[in-house]
Amino acid sequence: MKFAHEFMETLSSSAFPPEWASSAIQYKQLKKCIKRVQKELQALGLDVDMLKDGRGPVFEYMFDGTVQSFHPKLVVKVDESGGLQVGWGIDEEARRRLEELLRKLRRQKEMGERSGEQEEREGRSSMSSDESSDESVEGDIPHPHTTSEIEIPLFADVEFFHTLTSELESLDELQTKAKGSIETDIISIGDSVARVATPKTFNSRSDLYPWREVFRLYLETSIFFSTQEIESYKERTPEEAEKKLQVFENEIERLGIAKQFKCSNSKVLLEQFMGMNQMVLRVLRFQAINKVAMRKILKKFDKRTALGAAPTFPLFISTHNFLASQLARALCFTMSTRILSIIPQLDDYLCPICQYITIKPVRLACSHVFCVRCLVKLQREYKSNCPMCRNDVVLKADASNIDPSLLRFLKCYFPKECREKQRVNEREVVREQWMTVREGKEEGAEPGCAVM
Amino acid sequence: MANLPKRIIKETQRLTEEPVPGINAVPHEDNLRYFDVSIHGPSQSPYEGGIFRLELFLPEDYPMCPPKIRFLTKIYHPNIDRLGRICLDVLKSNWSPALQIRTILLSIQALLGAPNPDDPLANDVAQKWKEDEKTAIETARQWTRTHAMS
Ligand SMILES: [Zn+2]
Ligand SMILES: [Zn+2]
Repeated sequence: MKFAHEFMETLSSSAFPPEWASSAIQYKQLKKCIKRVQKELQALGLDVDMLKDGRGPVFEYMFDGTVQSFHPKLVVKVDESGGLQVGWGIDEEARRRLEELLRKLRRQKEMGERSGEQEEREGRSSMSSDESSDESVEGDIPHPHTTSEIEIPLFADVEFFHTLTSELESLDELQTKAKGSIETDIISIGDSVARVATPKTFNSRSDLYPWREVFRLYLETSIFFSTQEIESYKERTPEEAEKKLQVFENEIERLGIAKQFKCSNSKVLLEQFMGMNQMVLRVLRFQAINKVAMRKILKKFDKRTALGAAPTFPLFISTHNFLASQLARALCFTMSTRILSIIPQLDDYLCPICQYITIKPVRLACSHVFCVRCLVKLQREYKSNCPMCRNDVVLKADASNIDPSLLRFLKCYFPKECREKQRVNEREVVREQWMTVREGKEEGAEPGCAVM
Repeated sequence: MANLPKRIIKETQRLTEEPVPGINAVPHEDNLRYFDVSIHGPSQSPYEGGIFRLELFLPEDYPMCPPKIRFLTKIYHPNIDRLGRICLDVLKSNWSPALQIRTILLSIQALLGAPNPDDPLANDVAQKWKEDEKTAIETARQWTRTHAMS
């Protein structure tokens, strides 16, 4: 009862859209199903202990068919004479009961065959005992030394697993729908942000800088995925993601980004962006609790019936869309291509040597880019190899290596950073000149590296 | 000391925010170019279980020239001499300004895991290593116990 209660609470209290509830795992209904399976087993004289002890050597519970169309079946393994495996440790009384059941099943089958009725699960329950291999079972004669299986007919379990699968189906449908609507949102937000965040050159009121800050923080917080190599880009749990999203929202608030916006539209867009992320989170949370519900109900199924489906069923249906989907990954991908990449981030245009923006950008023959100042320093020390790839290209570079289109792009998208770099360069040049003057006076002082 | 270059600030930040497992580097408060470093001996090496202290200094021309770095903890290793100086190509001729403190420390950690007696700095140790690797490794283990575990 505990989980059922918790599950209902979460479903009703987590701000899920009302129509989602009907797609959730129907936990209570499935529990009732389990009770019916239990009753059926009892009626057949199969109790939990017996099934538990005999699982493997005597009983096997399996799923026949494909994810789309399958039926679960419980079979008893018998040897060629139709008897039970010897050496199986159950008490006499239980063994007698089971043998009685098998005899009954055999009789039923024979009667069915005699009256010409089609067997419902054709070919699935084969019997190897001599009594059954009379006129009607041609083509079904087993090899003499293999053990074979007798199926014990159960009905409520079929209902249980089919109900569960159809719920996964509707969860999948809901997920596809939610994904589609979030993607539509992403595209529309992206297009609108692109409009308000164009560089000043094209639009006198530009929110390029505040939006860049929003996305930089967003990427840095890595809400739905870890970006740390050590954690190998793992998907976060909804709880972790929720916390991260909160951190992100607080940071946006703390930095007063909304106040920096100059376009009236930006504020609304920021709210939409936040809302869209909340929606992603909600879908992930709904997905997660339903997966837990499925696990729990299967565990309950096993506890009550001892059929051992909890480990096998999830494997059997592991290719089901709902379970296999990488929703977070897909949405984050769309988000990064349709929204985040609209605004270039500084990190992608840093000089690997000084870590300032690569202005002016020099593109070496190997296509690695450095700022002109760092390149000059390399040349001054006669370093001939590219710092990134060690190709012998540094000394061959001259003014023609400056990349004009990259230069224009950087000036357009990063005007502040370009000015900053300019100032740093100027200060450095002044200092160098001062050093030269001083070294000239204190003759013999070694320049460069050797000074420590 | 002149203003700390942006590059050094960024490297220091990243070292503390995303530390490399088994490596610790903390700058001195009064000299941000001077780092106290400790490296855990790699597992399955004779230095396993030891914590080795090093000092690292970023010269004025860093990153145009490599950081200066040496072991403070005594260590028995063919590529590290009695004064703790390290024979590692990326610290000398193969230095590139695109390398970082982080990558250098990783290289040193790797050097502990794979001593290279054919490119020695400590000639006597390298000699021993080539003549009788088993004993050399045992000595390295002993030194680790004596000097790097406390
Ligand atoms: Zn540079
Ligand atoms: Zn290159």
